[in-house]
This record gives sequence, structure tokens and C-alpha cells, in this order.
Amino acid sequence: MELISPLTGLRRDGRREDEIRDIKCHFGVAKDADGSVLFEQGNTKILATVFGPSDAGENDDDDGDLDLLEDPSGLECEFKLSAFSQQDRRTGQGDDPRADEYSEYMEMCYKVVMFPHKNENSVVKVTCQVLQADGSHLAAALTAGTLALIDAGIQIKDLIVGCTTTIIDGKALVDISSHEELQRLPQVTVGVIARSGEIIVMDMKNRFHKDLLNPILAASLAGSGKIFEEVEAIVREHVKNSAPNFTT
Amino acid sequence: MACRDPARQLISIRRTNDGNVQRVVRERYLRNDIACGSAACRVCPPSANVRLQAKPNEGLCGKFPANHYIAPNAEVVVNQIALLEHPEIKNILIFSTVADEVEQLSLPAFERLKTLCANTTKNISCFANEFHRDTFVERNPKESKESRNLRSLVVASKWYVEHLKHAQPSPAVLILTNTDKDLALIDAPAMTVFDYVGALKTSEPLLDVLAKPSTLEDLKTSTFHYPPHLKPSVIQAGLKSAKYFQGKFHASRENYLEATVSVEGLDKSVLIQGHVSLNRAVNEDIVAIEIFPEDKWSAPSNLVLEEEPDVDAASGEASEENEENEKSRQLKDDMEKKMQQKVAKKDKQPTGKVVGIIKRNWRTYCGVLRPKTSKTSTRYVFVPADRKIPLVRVETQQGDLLQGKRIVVAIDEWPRSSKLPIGHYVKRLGEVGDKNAENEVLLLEHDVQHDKFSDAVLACLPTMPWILTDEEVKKRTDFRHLAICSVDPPGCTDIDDALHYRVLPNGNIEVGVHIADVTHFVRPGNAMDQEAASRGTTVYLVDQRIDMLPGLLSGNLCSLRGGEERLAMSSVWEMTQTAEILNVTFSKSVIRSRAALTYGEAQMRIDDASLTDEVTVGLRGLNRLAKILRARRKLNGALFLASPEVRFNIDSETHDPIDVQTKELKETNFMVEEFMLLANISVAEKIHKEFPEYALLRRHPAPPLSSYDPVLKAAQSKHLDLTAKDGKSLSDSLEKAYIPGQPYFNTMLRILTTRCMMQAVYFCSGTVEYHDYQHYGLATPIYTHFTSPIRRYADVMVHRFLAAAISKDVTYPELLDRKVMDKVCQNINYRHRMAQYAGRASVSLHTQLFFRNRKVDEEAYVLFVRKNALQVLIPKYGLEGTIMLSAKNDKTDIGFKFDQEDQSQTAGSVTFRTFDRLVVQISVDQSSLQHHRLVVNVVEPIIPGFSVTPSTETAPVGAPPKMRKIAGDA
Amino acid sequence: MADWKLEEPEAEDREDDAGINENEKKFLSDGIIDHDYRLDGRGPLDYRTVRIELGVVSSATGSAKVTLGSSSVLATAKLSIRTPGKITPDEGLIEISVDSSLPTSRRDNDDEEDMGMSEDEVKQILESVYRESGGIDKRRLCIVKGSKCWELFFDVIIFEKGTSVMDAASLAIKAALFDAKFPNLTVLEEEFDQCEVEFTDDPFDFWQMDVTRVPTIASLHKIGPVFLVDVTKEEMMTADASVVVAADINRTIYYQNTECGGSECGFELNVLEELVETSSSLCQEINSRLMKLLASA
Repeated sequence: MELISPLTGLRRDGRREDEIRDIKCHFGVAKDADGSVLFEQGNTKILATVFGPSDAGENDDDDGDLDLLEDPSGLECEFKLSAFSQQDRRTGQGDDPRADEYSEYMEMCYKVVMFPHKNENSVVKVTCQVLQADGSHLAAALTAGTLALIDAGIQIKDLIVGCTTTIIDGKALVDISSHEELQRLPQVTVGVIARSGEIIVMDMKNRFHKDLLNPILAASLAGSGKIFEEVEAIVREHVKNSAPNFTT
Repeated sequence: MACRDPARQLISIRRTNDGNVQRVVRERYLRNDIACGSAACRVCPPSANVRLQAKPNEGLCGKFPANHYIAPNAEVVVNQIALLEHPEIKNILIFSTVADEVEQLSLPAFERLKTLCANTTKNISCFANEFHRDTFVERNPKESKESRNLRSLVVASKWYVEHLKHAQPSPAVLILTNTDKDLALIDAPAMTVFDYVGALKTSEPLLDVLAKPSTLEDLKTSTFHYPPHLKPSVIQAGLKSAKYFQGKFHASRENYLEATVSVEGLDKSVLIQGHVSLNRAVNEDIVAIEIFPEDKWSAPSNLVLEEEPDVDAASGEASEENEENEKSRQLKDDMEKKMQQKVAKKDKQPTGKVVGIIKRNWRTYCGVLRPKTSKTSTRYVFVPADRKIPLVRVETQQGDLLQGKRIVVAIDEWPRSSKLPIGHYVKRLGEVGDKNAENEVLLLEHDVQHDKFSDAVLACLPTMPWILTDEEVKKRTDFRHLAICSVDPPGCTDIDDALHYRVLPNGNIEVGVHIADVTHFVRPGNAMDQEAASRGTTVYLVDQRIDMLPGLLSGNLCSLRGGEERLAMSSVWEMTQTAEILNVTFSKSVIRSRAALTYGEAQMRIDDASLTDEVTVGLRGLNRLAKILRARRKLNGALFLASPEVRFNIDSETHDPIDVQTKELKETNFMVEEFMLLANISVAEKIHKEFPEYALLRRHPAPPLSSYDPVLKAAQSKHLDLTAKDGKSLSDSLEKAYIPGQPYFNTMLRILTTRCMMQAVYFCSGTVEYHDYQHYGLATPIYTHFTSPIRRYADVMVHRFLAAAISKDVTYPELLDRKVMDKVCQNINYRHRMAQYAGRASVSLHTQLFFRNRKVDEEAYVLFVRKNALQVLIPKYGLEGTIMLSAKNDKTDIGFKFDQEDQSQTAGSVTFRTFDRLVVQISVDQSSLQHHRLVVNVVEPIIPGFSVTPSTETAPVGAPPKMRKIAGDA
Repeated sequence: MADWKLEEPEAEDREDDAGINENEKKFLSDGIIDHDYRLDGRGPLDYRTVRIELGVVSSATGSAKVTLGSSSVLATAKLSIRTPGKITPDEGLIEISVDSSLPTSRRDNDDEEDMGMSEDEVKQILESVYRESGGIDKRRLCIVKGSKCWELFFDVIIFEKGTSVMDAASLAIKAALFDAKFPNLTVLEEEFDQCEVEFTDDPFDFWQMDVTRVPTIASLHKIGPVFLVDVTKEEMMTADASVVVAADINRTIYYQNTECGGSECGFELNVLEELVETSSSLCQEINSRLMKLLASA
């Protein structure tokens, strides 16, 4: 099955090459947490929760070296892929081989937009759990985490959004679905500050020639821009609803 | 304004590979910005891709006089794609529902649909109704996919008509179905494709182009010729439990009642004998077979059996079908009885029967129609050119027109009640015996892509005039000052190799092989690369060359012509005077060949002692080294085998062959060959070292010792002992095998030995163990093809590996993917084989044309003794022929006795054995217009009632026979 | 050595939301014992609002999200075709997993003061009720005896771990099973004891399981002589004993687990009887309500 129908020029789900999927977001779905969102990008559904800022805890162990290693920004991130989220139920839970790596990407992204001095001696925990997997997990998780941070009222400088892009026959497809991930095509995920176009993290999957990197990154940035537009509108709406007198 | 609806969820239940249930949820975005593609439309935004006419098919169809677009359903596209491809069928509207369905049903049909839609001159347009907000149809609960698709077809066609209502005149949409069973369900203008085509006013009747719907004969009649095929689920279960086996069906070329099935994991292929066991399998089908218990195992019958269509024709197949069947069954039974035989246990081979078809691999077939006997009948028997394909029953209205023509036919079905498969006429190629038609046949039959290069491919070519930039020169080693020259056959325009030789100051010798730098122009993945990868090789026919790369490259920019600056990949060795290699370097270079010589010219220069120019001195040096290298290879056990190669002198006006001669080889041929071998081996070592997992190499496996048995046996009959323990002993013993007074004996022996060899193949180094890399024929542990990138795709890949290995070019993902490389290898192996067959077929076609009005007596030798035939070699023409010993008409059946042990045929006092000399008469049987064929009859020894009288014609002029000694694989 | 100090955990910090002192406890229990009034105005056997959403995970065969008071749980059911076990050739297979959406680290830190149960406990109880004790009739998951059966995976994710997480999880599983769409199969009997199943690609071609008899779980807490359901954190801290009971519509008991809070240890027989009696009738009550709710979905 070709990703772009040779006869209609459309992607298998009816999108054009540069179109993103529908984005939906529900705030405050997990009351336990200080901030939470159920973020949907197409059929990829992610539950993002934020706990904190809370006390970093007493350093009761005398081992000072460990403290040095500890992150002063006090950010802990976790990416989890639910066992049932994919087509075939995985045996053994959430053991995405790259979950640790993805957690680190989240941390790198949010660190850039948070104000470390405001969170001294405190810990913010961001967890993104994929409930339904339909491609672009990492990208959606990066976006969802930002929204959860906002819901928790944690100050951030700007929004982080993620976008996964692939390229086939010189045509870049943004925000790819799981079906589009199946063929082992070049795949790039970026986490960016969309307003400035600054790329904070970039993750590549499958081998490809470096000549493809520029077009694929350009498409990723363009896609991130579109995601940002949608997400920003969602955030403004949310703020308007929760604080009607607070105008931005 | 363009906009998009929120996503809908499409849920389907899928079966996974392991038979499990999977619930698949996909999104579907519906939109309003999909263009209709009709020139009549003034609503959709203007687009370059408007392909449907404003006043479509005006008055074209008698039954539907209004202007209309035709919207075929999926069944029509799958079954009648040939109709849609017909230039007179226009204004085709393909709904994307149909396109999706076609993709599911038949990939080949989908590919052809794609090609059709890509053709901008055809009035065909695909409307993405599945993604249009107003035409998307949701599947209802409990509704089958088929009826949902039908519904969306109706919805889409109605929308389309409504959409174009404003046009003057407003066109209609006519849905075409393959059968009338759907018509009742369609609440819109619709017709079966047969009714439609029947009422079309076209220049030739198109009805024949249509595939007939399943005849349902199985239901009507009770006489079955074949057992039923098992259901797919039963086959799958049987395969799992190892009751059945899956394999590819290879029909025998010689005996239509025999075939073998190669099953993965079994050492020996399984023999299938008799029409009931063959059970309607056609060559290349993937079949499921059941293997018989060991006591039923047998061996190939050694019979040459041709399917005899005369019976059908004689009994007027249409009216007296049953009688015909009766007769033919008797005939078959007779033949099958003939095939039964006592077989020595050691020769036994597993036998089995076909129980089901897993995948049909039917293509279209070239051939001719047999003349019909009854005037009223529209049924004909089609005789395919490929003898592995059964006769096909074809119904056509224009039978008279097609008599004596080469035509193309597709098989539609093979019901149990029909003795022959049922097919339909597709197109006409030309007169039987017409060279162009026959060439077309052999290209089609060997799957040789011979279309012109597409615009996309040509767009990849560099713009002319091509100029060598200083920048490019800087990146390369400059060899322009060296005395480089090329040596090729006369008339060669695709010169891909050139050589140089010089003595270094330290007394050593520098030898360079320079190969056209094709990969500089052919970049991985572009249209030209894909086309070349798919073609795999340039195909050489007697009077035609089908290039792998466009002419600008093959005949100009990549041809290392004399006096012109060209880019090259160079391999340069430093050697001692005794041809011991000290080191080798590879580089991308610039060269200027001093001279493009023919073998003859080069030979003359070497021989002419008065010449002392740089090029000539170099040639002499190279020639001397080549002899040393060659002697060394011989010592290592390289085989020098013979195979006849024929050259035709073609009349420049009629293009008919007027003279035939076997190719003559000069010393310089061997000289070039030696250095090409050397370059290939050096490059193979280099790329294997750099890319042990991925390098593309070529191997030639040693044949199992038992495969030499026929040769050894044959040699023994002449009291000569051959040893075939290994390449070296074989080579040595062949060297000694001469019989005084029989000068041709040794060559024959070598020809026979060649027949025992395995095919050399390309492979990806990561897929084979190192010790299996060996090239048996060349006696080298590792080998590849590097020296002909203009005409072989394997060499293109090897160039890419080499360029990457010397850091002159980059790798790309496909190059370093074992699976991809494996696929590339499989394709080029297939293409090479096909190119070889096509080349041979071309030779035999020309041989036939050559002998058309001649009757010639020539000396011949027995190559093989078969149960009912002799295969003979006629050295003068490098020609092989078959002498039937018990032909169909009784008068020649004079009682030859076949001795299996002795491999001999005896009639009266005459006994034929391998190597026996005879005189044969060659002529062309033109008695039937449809099927010209070369006939070989015995003249000497005289066997009353069998041999023919000598011809009074003198033999045509031709060079004396010479056999080309080939190294097999340069 | 004057600055030597044994560091005590700072109690106030930990108590700020769940902490409750003796007076408050008394106030709470008095209200309940004397007036049958709970602090939020509910009767002892009243649940807080129960919200059920079906089909939230469209890629699963069945799914349900249940919010019960402060607990929120998502259960998904997934299907695959397997070979049944040798000992029970006519039964299907059931697997249950329980995971939390909380960050892993948080769960590790907070377990001492954690109210309600750990994921492992929830999993163990769910398995015991639905898999081991026949809460779901596994014979209904049989396709061809000895050859093919359904395997049902339940994945439970705890969004919010309130006090009634156990009750919510059981409701979610039952609702997810109700929502599950089993494709209709055609069995092709074949030679050599093998069979193949076939099914259509029609997503509407399915059957659903009658879940009327599938048990639900209720957890009760005892304050004085009164039994409370769906307790608040404060009530939980005040309670002197608790019990978890699973029962179906016939009040057949599948599971029962008691725990005595703090001081007074052990149940008297009649109390225990009463506890179980109350909870099993409660289960019946929940069951019929759930069925009504599902039927309206």
C-alpha cells in the first residue's frame, strides 16, 4: 500500500501531505494530579499528568555526590506506552524500548521553557501515558506535556510542540499515523519552540541519506507551526474559560 | 474555500498473518476541495489535471447515445483492463472506491491502472469520492463491503451528474459492470461492459478484447476432466501439517504432460505426470501438491511430447465437444501409458499431484490461432509460442482476420469441465514470420521491457552539451596523459572499458583498467536508476539492442570513445614483469582514450612489427601479460568450455539474415577478457572487505558430482576417462580428451560439460557463507561484475560500493540493506536469464528466417539420445535440432528401440549414440501458416523409410565452424 | 553532642490533606452512629455520583472509564484467538493487568500513607474474582473445544486512586466486557483435528456477552455498628474495620477480604455475617443499577 494514493494524491486517511490531524484536548481529567490533560491528535491519545511543584524532599542521605548529580531544575519526566494502546497487545507492560529515551527528550524540552530559579528545591513530575497509539507518540507526548504543565499552573516561557515527519519519493508527510510509520521510512521527530522555530530535540528513526534531512526538517517545522496554532488556540480558550476575567 | 470535516472513525476487522483477529481503527478526513477533473466543469478550481472531455463519447455508443463518462466498477477494471487501455475507449471515470478495490483484488491490474492514469494523453480521471464530503458512504451495519462499495459508486455517479448539471450539454455517467447480477441493484444509468462494447462504434470490434465472465460450465455439465481444487483454508491447514507442500510449478518444455514443482526445503523437485495430476496448473503458478508414497516415485519419461491440437480441430470442437473430449482423453491416456516405464531405483524422484492453486501467475501469452474446421464456430485453439504453456481455447468474432497473425491472448479461467483453459484475445502483433512481429513476440515472451524511456527517465539526463568542469577534474585522478585505448567488437557504440600499460621507472609494470563512470550520471533512486534497476541488463538481439540506459549515456557520455574526455572508475595495478600483482589502487578518474580499436585492428597492430607507438607497445605488453595470467588461471583449474555462438550477416535493406557464421575469436579477445577478470576479482575483494554484509558479488556454485554422469558416461562409451572431482581435474582431463580423426569430439565434450554447469548468480554477500562465494568456472574464491556498468545493473551497484569504499561517494540506506540488496540480486538474476533466453530465441528466429526457402544438408553430431528423439548439434550454424524418431504419423514409426542404460537408439542395423556423426537436412516446415518451424531430418546413415534424400542445393556461404571458447563469465 | 537529633518525619506535612485528629474522628463517627449522617450528607450505603463512559479507547474491543467519587479508572478489553489450556480445553483465557497513570517515582515514595490499595492488590483481587473464581464464565470464551478459544485481556489503568478504586475497577471491567464486541466466527472443521476460524471484515458482525451475572465488587467500612460504602478519606481513617466482597446478582459470593483498622482487632461472627450480608446485597443493588445504566447506553 502506498502512503500517498498514486491516483488521488491524498494520504490514506484523506489528508494532504502537509496536513496535521485533528487535535483535541480535555483539561483536568485526573484530579489527583496538579495538572492533567487528555490530549488527542487523531487517534493517538495521551494522558499527561503533572505533579508539583512539590518539595524536593530532605536530603537525608549524607552522600553529597548524589546531590550534585541531581537536577537543579527538579524536573522528572516519564513516558509510558500502555500495554493495550497498540494494535497488538504487548505482553509485558509498557516496555517500549525507547521509553527511557523519550522521557529524557521530554525533560530536555521542558527544562528549556521552565524557569529553573522559580522551582528551586522543588520537583515537578510530568508523566505522559499513551492510551491509544496511532503514530507520532513522542511528538504528541511532547505537546501534551506542555499542556499539562499549563494546567498545573507552572510558569513556562513558551509552548513546546512536537511533530513527526516522514519522507517518501521526495514528499514529506507530517504528523504521521501508525500506518504511515509501518514502512521503515526515514522518520524525524522534533520538539520545538514553534514561535521561534528553535529545535530543542530531534529524534531520528531508520536510516536515511543526509540530503533528505533538510526537506524533512523544513516540513517538520512547518507541521509544528500548524500544531502550535491549534494548541495555542486551545490554551487561550482554556484560560478564558477557567479565568474569564483574565484577559491576555 | 477548502476545508475538512472532523475525522471519522473507520473500523474494520482484520485477519493477522497468524490468523488472529485484529480490530483496526483508521481515521478518515472528508473534504470539499476535491476536483472533479472534467473539462465541462466551471465550479471546481482550474487545474492542470483536467482530463475528461467536455463533450464526452458523443454518439459513440448505440445503446447510450447521450454524452457520457464511463465509470467501470472494480470487477471491470480487474478483468477488462485491456479494454480500458484501448485507445478508442475514452473518458473513463475511476472512482477511488474502485481504485481501492482493484488494489485489494489484483495488484497487476492496479499497476496497469496506475500506468494508465499516469498517461496524460488518455482521457481518464480518478475522482476521490471516498474523501469527498458529499460522496463518502458509511458502511451500514451488516452490510457487506461489496454492496457498500456498490452503493458508493451510485452515490458518486449521481453526485457527479448533479455537479455537472450546469454544463451545456450536461454529461451523464454510465456505470459499467462485468456481469448483470449487479445491475438490478444500481439505481443509476448502468450497463454491462459487454452490452456497452457491443454497441460501440469503433474501428475494430472490441468485443474480443473482453474477458468472458466465468462460464459456469462446471454447473452445467457433469463431465469433468479434472479433479476439483481444494479450498484455500484446507490447503493452509494441509501445509501446516505437512500433508501438502507449496511450490512453484515448472511445466516441461519438452513434454506437456510432465512438470516439476520445486518445493522449498526438499532436495529434489517433485515430478508431476499426467493431466489429472497436473490438474490445470499453468507454468509459474504457485501450487499446493501432495507427494505420493515412495513406491509410486518415478523419473522423467524422457519423451518429447507436444500437445496435439489437431484432434480438437478435426472434431469440430464447438458442436461435438463431448466427442472431442472423448477422443482427446483416449489420446491422453495413450500418451500417459507411453510415459509409464520401469525406472531404476537410483533415478527415482518424488512424484505427486497438484491439489490446489495458491496463486495463479498468468500473464498474457503470444502465439497463433489454429485454423478452425467448422465455418460457423467462433471458437479457436490458440497455440502459445512458449511450449510450457498449454493450448488455450479462445472465442473471437474476427478469427478470419487473425489467421496467420501473431496475437496476444490472456487466460481467464480453467474450469474443471474444460479440457483447455479458456482465454480471450488481447491484441495483434503482426504477421507470422514477419520479423518485427516475431521480435515483439520474443521480447514479450521474455518479459523484456522495451518501451521507450519515459520523460521522467530522460529528465534525469545531464543537459547537453555536457562539459567537463575543472571542479569535477579536481575531485578526480587525472589520467588524460596516459596512452589509454579500448578494444571492442566492430560496430560497438557502448564502450565501457579501456586499458593502459606502461613501464614504471622501477622496472615494474603499471596496468590500468578504466571503466565508464556510469554512477556519476545515474544517481541512486531517481527515475533513471529505477528504470535501469528494473531492466537489469541491456538485451542483445541479433538485429536490435534494447538498452538498459538511455542512448545519450550508453552511446555517448558513458562510452569511452577515442579522443574524448570521459569520466571513469579506474583500477590500476603495479605488477612485476611476470604478472605478479604488487598492489592495486582504485580511483575516480578522467581519461582520454587514444584510440577505440576493434579486436581485429588491435590484433593487426600487435602483429605489425613496424609499429612502435605508445598504444601498440602497450597492447603488446598487455597481450604478453594476459597470456601469463591465462596460463595461471588454467593451472588453478579454471574451465574453458565451449558454446557455439552464431553471427548473422543482415541484409541492410530487408533486414533479413543473408549469411550465418559462427563468431570468430582473436587473441585480443582473450587479452581484454583477462584484464576484465582481473579487475572484477580485485574489485570484488575490495568491496567485500569494506562491506562484508552487503556487497553485491557473483558466484558460480560447483555442480553436484552426479550431474556430470551423462558426460562421463558418454565419454566412457568412447573409451575415455574423464574425472570431475574438482574443476582442475575436469579441466585437465578435458584437455587430454581427444580422439584422432574426430576433431570435433573435444568441443562436443566441452559443450556437454557446459550443460552440466550450474547458473552463475549475483548475490548479496551477507546472505551466503564465505566458502560458497566461489566462482567454479573461473576458479576464483570471490568474483563480481564491475566492467560493464553501461549494460549491466549489477555493475552499477558494484560501482556504488566501490565509490563508497574509496570515499568518493556516499552510501544510501538501500545500499546497506540486505533485504533490498537481495531483491536487487533476484531481479537482475531473473533479467539476465531472460536476456539470455531472448538472445537465443532471437538467434533461432533468425536461423529460421535464414533457412526459410532453403533445404540444406549438413554435418551433425548427436548431443543427447532421448526416448523418442535425438538432439543433434549442427556445428556449422551453431544450431541444435531435434529429430523425432517416432513421430505422430505412423509411416515414420519404424521401430526405434531405446536403450536406457546404453543411452542409444537402434533401428535395424543402425544405432545412434552420443557423439555419432550424421548428415542431416535442414528445412523450414511452412506447411501450416501459423507455425513455421525448423525441421531436421536424417540423410545419413540411410534408414529406409526414415531418412530423406539428399538436398540438391548447395550449402549457403558461411565461415567454417569455430567454437568460441569462453571463460564463462567475463 | 548537643546537636544530635533524631530526625522525625514532620508529621504536619504529611497530614495536611488526609490527617484527621481524634476529635474530628469522634465527630464524624458520632454523626454516623447517632444520626445516620455522613459529613457530606450521604446515607451510609450511598455511593457518590458514578459516571461511566463506554468505548473511550476505540482501538480496543471494549473499554469503559468509570469515575466514582475520587476514583477514576479506565478498563480496556482486548481479544485474541488462542489455544486453550490442556486441563481446561473448553475454557477461554483471561488476563488482567493493573497500572497507574501516576509517575512511577511518586508511587514508590508515597506507599506508606497510601489510602486504598496498591495496584498489585487491586490486580490480585480482580484476578481472583474474574479469573479464578469464575466471575466471568470462561466457557463462553470457548470457540472450538481443545483447539481454539478467546483470550480476554483486561488492562486497568488507574487515573485517580481514590478510596473506592476497587469498586470503580470492578465496575469498569464489567462495563468494558459489556462494551466488548466479539466478532462472529465461522468454524471450518477440517481433517487432522485442525480447524480454522473465519470471520468477516464487517465491524458490525459481532456478538456481545450477557454480563448480567458478572459480579461486582463492593468495599465496606465499619464505623461503630454502621457500615459505610464509598468512604471518604476521613471516614476511612475513622473506620475500625473494612471488608471487600464480590457478589453477583444471585448474591453468590466470589470473594471476601476483611481488614481491621488499627485498634480493635477481629470481627465477631455476627458482625462478620452482617457485613457480608450487607455487602452482598449491596453488590446486587450496584449490579442492577449498572445494568440499567448500560442498557440505556
